[in-house]
Amino acid sequence: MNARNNIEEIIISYIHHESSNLDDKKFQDILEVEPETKLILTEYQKLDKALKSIPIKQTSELFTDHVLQNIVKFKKSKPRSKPYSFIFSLAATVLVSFLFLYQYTSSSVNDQIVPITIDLPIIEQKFVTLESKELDALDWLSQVQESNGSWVGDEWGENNQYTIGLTCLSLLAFASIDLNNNNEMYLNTLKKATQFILSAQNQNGSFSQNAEYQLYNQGIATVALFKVNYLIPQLVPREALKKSINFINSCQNKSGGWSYHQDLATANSSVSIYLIKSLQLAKENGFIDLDERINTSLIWVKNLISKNDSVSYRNANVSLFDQNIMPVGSKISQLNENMLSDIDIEFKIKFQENLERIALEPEKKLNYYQFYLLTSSIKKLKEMRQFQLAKKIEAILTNKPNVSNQLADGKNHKQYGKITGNRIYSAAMATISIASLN
Amino acid sequence: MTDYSNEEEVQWMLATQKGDQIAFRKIVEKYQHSLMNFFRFMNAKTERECEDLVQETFMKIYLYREKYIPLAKLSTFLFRIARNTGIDYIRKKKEQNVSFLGGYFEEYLLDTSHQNLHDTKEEYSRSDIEKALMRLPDKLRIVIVMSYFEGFKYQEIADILEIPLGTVKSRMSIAMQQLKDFLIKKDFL
Repeated sequence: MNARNNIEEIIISYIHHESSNLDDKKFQDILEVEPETKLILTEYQKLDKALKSIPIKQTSELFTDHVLQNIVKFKKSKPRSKPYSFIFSLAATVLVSFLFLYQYTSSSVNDQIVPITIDLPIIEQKFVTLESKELDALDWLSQVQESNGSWVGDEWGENNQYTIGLTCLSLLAFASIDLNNNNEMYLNTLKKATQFILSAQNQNGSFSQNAEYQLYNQGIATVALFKVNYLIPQLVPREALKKSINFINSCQNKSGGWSYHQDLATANSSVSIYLIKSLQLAKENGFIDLDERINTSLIWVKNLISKNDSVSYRNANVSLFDQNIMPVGSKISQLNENMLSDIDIEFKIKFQENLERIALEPEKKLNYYQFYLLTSSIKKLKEMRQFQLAKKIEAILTNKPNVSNQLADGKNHKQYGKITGNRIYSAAMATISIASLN
Repeated sequence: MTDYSNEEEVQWMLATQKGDQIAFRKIVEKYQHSLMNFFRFMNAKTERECEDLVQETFMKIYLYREKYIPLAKLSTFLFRIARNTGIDYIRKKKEQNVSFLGGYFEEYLLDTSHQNLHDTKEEYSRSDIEKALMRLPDKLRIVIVMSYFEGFKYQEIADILEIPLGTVKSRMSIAMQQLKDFLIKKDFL
């Protein structure tokens, strides 16, 4: 060691435990014979202690979300910006899938529904602060949640075939809001629902108790779990997601789509949309070797559209208020411009005219079909640069009183069974829809 | 203080390179406090500026994630980017002829809620030590900040600042000496 001129450097290295054992030993020897050095050491030890006493401030938990949101925004702003994209397309797929599910199970209508969108976005955090009227829906959902974390609709299926679907829709509603700004009850509700879904997962990765709706439930459950996983990673083990994705992969048809269950040969668009979305979310979350599967499925979706000039159950020549045309408007609202080029321009005009008519009747009561249709229409109107009309429609929706009660009166949708089943679905959909507006 | 010894974070970064958002979230969660404190003591005038710098740093980490090689510790990679982000920030502020140091720190000092402990005659007061720290030139303050508030060893500081280990030792020594002098003379202006 260079003794005198480097003594302070040596002392400081000693204090910081940065010198070698040999140097430490030599330094301790010096201390024995040089009381002056010992005094200097004491001074620096005092300074060291003072420096260590300076408190380190912690950032808020919200800051992580803030950082990640901005990065997601940045990522999305580089290619094409799609505002509301996740929640809009999610809500649209949810709604159309349920419509299809109903038709599939309770009527003889076999028209195929064209999927809503193939431009599936990554998970985007878009938290909203809901007002009291919207929170009513969430409060009610929390209250009617089963003790095991699920939601079960009265007379919504004799074999609980809707339980996974209803639970995941409700879960998505809670995952659409900023839980940090709301009460703990919502967070507990979300946790219980997540635990229920995870506990329902079978060894092969599937979630359904009922084989008939196996893949429909699989898709919606996987999308919900990815969403929760993004919010609170520790709630959803990656292994559960992995098993689910493996199961989805194992069930993909040669055509690229998926059926309601693995034994059916014909792929179904509503089921497939959820499963494509699941694969895309998996890819975004680091799962590998999915590109080919996703591309094949998208080709399958595109083929459906190009060969089918009908985009609804029935002819699209009635008022937009007619719930039968609702899926048409909804899908039109969600299609991107490339896909819209395949759609008759006259239909776009009709779509706009219907919305103008609705704007003239702001007091008219809406059922949840119409509510959602209008929600999803706003985006399309903005794309069509119909800003004034979009603003009017937005005003209609935001001025509706007590969404959950209005939507849950059962008057307009007896076909879905008793109140509880409707209300679970309506309350969840209302929240997802409103969240997409904010 | 953040524990930088965990090799798991290397895996997080590798997963981030493959597009794993959860892994990137873990990196943000682990390092956000450290980066906030780093900028708090080094560059920022306000809390908002601290947050903006942390945001910018994570943005760059995400953009440059492909450049990360697992041979280097993630913390080294991350703080090197943070340091460069801070330098760019200072340069910009200088161009705007704006005082860039001490703003936030002054606010911090005015907040006496954290200054009660150890305020005895036998010890250096926390308030004084913070004022003294503010008097140090950037090059000296950064080694103190990285050692005391970020918990880095000398070699890690050398890697991050891209200077020889000996330079870290000498800068640390000079910084400590100056701090001690400021405190003894109560020279904080």
